[in-house]
Amino acid sequence: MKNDNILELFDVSVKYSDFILRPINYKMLRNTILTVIGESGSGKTTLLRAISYSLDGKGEFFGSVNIDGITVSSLNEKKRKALRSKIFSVVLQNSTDTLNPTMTLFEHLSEILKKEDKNTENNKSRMYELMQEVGLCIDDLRRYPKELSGGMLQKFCIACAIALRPKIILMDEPTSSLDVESKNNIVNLIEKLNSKYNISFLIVTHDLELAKKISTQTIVMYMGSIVEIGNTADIINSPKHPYTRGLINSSVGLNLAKDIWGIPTPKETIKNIGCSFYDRCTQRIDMCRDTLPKLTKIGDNRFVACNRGGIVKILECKNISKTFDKNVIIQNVDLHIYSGEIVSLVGKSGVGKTTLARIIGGFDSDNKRREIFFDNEKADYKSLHSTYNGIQYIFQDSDTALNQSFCVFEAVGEPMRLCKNTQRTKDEILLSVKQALQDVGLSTDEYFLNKKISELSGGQKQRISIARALTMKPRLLIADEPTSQLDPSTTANLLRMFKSLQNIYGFSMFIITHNLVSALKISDRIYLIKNKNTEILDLSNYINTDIENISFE
Amino acid sequence: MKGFFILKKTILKKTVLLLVSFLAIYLINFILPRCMPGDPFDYTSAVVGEDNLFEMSTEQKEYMRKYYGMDKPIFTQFMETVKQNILGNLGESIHFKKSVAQIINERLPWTLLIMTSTLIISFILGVALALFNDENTILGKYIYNIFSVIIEIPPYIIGIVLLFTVAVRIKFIPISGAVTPFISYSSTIHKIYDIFIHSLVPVLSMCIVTIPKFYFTANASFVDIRKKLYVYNAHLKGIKNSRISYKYILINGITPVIVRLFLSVGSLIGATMLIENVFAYPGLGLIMREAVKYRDYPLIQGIFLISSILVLLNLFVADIINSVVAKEVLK
Repeated sequence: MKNDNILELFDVSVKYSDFILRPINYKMLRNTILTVIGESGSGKTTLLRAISYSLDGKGEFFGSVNIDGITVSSLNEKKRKALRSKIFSVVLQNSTDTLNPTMTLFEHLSEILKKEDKNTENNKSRMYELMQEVGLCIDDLRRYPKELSGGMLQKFCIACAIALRPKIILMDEPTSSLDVESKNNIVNLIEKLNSKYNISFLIVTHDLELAKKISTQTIVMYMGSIVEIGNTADIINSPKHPYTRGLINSSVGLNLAKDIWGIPTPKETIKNIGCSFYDRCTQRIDMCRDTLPKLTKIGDNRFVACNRGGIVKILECKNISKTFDKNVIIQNVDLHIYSGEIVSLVGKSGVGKTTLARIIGGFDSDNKRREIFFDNEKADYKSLHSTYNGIQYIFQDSDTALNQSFCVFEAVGEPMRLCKNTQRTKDEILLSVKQALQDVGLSTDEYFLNKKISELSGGQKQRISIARALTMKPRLLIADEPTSQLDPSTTANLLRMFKSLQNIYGFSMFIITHNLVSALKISDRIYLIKNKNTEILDLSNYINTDIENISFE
Repeated sequence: MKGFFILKKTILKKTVLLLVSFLAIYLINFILPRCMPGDPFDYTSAVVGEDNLFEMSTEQKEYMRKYYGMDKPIFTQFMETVKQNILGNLGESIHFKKSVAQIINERLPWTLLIMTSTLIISFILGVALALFNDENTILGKYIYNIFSVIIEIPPYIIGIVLLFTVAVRIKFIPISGAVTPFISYSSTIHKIYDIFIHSLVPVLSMCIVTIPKFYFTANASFVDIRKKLYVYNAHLKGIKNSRISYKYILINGITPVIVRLFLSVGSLIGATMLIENVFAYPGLGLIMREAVKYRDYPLIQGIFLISSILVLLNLFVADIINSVVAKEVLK
């Protein structure tokens, strides 16, 4: 009896002495392409090995695997061997070492074909067919593996994998170490085989670009557990797990204009029994330390394993309108900012950018009662401004924002001294001030701390403003035109500094700017304010180079 | 083309090295026997192959020394020997009163017989054991430990043990010699059988020590190959185990074992010579003992010369195989 699933995993888990693949349940539909993504060491390859029942000696396998309705994991190795290449094939990570150096390609193919048919003549014609199918010459059959290029090798391995017309092929990093052209060839080949012969593919990769191009479904793995499952397009466009977003932000291919930032690795790993992403997560709460998140359904065909139900909306506002003397500035603006996200607001001067920012920042009120939510609770700006982990605002004009007669130490430490609910000692404040100054790249010596604000340069004052905000460890940092008064080099330094601080501390940022290009460099999303309302810009429209088709010839 | 050039250079280098080592050994061959106390005439007698029951008088000895040219300075003797050797003359045995070449000619085939038999049998069994060793069987589990102990035992001790436990007790197994004395063979098969049954225990004694040597080399090489991705991949493709063993593991892992085969000729010559003495097997080893006993300088030199040429040539072959393989790997 055939069912709709080509692959079914029931509580599949693997135990190594130093690594655990947590139980996985998953059903994969026929004729689909599934990608499993994650960093190195996330357990992708272990999962592939568990499915193909080829763990190396020390790994212990639990659970059961059904391929094409057959419980492969409970067969003995002899019976399983008969199914290999016929029902399922594995294509290992591209490397010359995967083929026997003393055997020609002909011998490699023929030994697989002989599993089904001992007739050499039949096999020969099938071999020619296969070589043409994957785009290799028939003459190449005489060659030895060492004489092949990386792309040819991968094609040949695919030829071996499809030789006996299996139902599913498991591939490990099919395009790593290939150049753009060979990579595209392999992608096209996989797509062709999928549509022509209805072969399902399970592809393990760290290349999100590949996942985006090729697959319909994606599984995201981290430290041996699944953190997110969904349609590939959904996952790439709106990741729900902070880790997935981190991966996307690290991908060169998905961020053509934007700078790339890896997920920061924690200075020290915190041993915890809870979420494995705890020590790198930007929205963790105490609960995450000791509660293992379960994979929960959050939408149609969408699962995420996060104690907070995925990336939280740190700020959401609905229907914001503002009128000045019967002049409608903005009307019914909806806007949201996710935790750990940099969002920019762009637009011409005078369209109400700063007005909107001030409303969101809590320094202005809109016409109606505010419908602004901070971390799912109605925003109480009074406390958010004056407590730790709240909202901080960096004003456009740092000259007026800072008291010129203060010294650096006083200016930076001021928010902490004003903080109501947590009183800090002078030493603690000094320590925080120094840390903040160091973060923004300013000196922390006695001389500088005692310097008067009025004696500083424009760039330095801007940094002091940022340091001031940072001391409060905000969850949302709003910056109004932070670079408008600075020279290009200082602007570049400051933007990169913003992003790197954001990357380390994980706060969300809302940046108001009239410079779309610099916004493109650092923003995850951009709102354009136009005709009294905001719209989200499709960032991909702003890349006019056709990078895909650049050839090196 | 470049690879071929490099290979040619390596062979040239190895050849020079071979010649230099040969000359050094040649010189030592000449000097070493003469360092032993006494000279041939203190030990040998005028009768062929007999012990000297009656010691020769000083005058007689002087006469003999003069006759064999041993009264001349050692350097002159050396030059004379070199001259003769270059002309292809290995000299006359003082004790056996026969040409050294003739003696070697008679004895060498016997030595070669048991040596090559040992090598071939040990090579095949050692490799087979390593290839098909299944760690799940009791033998597979302990074979490593068992062989580790055996490999340290000198073959002549095993020979003596076998002599007393097997050869003496089992009737049809002879205890000494290479053929039954004074026999006339009824057929070639009979002759072959006679030679086989005589060499059985000597070869067995050496094999017991040599098999582990090949086993260890082969096992180390095969363990490495088994870890290779292509072997893993072959399993993933569902290739039969027998084919993986042969086409993947054996073919790719055999080279170090072949090298070992050539390298082990040296130690095996030594072992053979001792074993021949245990079983009174009429090879070079037995005659060499005599030669040393009677200070038969030309014979000692001849035997040493032949065996050192054998060893050096085998080392040379091993060297060449190694460098060819290294080239292949680098390609």
